[in-house]
Amino acid sequence: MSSSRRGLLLGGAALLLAGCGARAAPEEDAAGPAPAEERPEAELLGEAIAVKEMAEAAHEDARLAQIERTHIERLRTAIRALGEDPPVVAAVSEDDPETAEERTIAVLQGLLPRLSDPELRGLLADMMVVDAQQLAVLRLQAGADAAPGAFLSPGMPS
Amino acid sequence: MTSLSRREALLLAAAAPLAAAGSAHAAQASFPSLLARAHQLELATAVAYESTAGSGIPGDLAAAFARHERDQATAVQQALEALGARTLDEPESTADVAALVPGLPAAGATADERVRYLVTVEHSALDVHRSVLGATHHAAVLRTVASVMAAAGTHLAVLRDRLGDPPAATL
Repeated sequence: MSSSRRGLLLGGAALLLAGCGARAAPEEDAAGPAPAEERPEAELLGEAIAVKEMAEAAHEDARLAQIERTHIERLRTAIRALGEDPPVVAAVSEDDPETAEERTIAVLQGLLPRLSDPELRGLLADMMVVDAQQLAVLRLQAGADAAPGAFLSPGMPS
Repeated sequence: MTSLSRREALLLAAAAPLAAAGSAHAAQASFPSLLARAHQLELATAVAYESTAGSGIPGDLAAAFARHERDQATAVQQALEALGARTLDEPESTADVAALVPGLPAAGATADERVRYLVTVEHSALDVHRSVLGATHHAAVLRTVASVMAAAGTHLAVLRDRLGDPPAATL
């Protein structure tokens, strides 16, 4: 990650925290305010399924595709645990596998702050780390630098 | 601080937030201490890469990964400062790292044993970052921690590749 992107991240963190501190009601604790998300968590997990279905379709490496299928099944289980039916997604991907993994990481990172359930945040975070590993494996296979930076945020503007 | 008392302090500091994370309410209350613990483990991971354990991988790679860890520690420290929270004792030696993450390989350890220790240290840091994610709603902190965790994932992939281990579906 470039220093400018890192600066953006750090600056954003500081600004938001400072802002939260200014607004904090007495009953708010250090964990900060709950996200003002209006969409049900099952729908947010459905977004994760959609991007993972696309990643599975993009993978030519059977091992990596199997990992996506494992994640998709876990997300489906999580949605059922919320009392909802998981979406049926027929994904076709025109992305190369590396782009598909970057997209997946970006989507999961974007969903994390929108989930109020810490267990669901943990589930998506675990998957996101595995996706980052898959991205690195693809880069290794391409002879590229697999771990070029201290931060990996494909969805952040560069 | 003597070496022994420093290790004791590191161990005590390590145990407190993890014990506090036993319930959802406690986890929320301990968010700054978890973040401090994450900062401490990022620095420990940097020291590990700079130490004998880091010699299990090529020197330029170990140096790059150590820099990443210090950059990540800086990001976490800035979040801590924004919260008005304090950092924990900073690990400076391999003994400090071993106090936080047991299993430091002996001097005669093989390269694979050293790399496996690096994997253990990376996982220790990831575990605490994951606890942070569960303990806060601060969107910017969540994004920063997620970005750090993803980068840690790329480190793990490189280490696993050197060990000949396939990519894993779970952490």
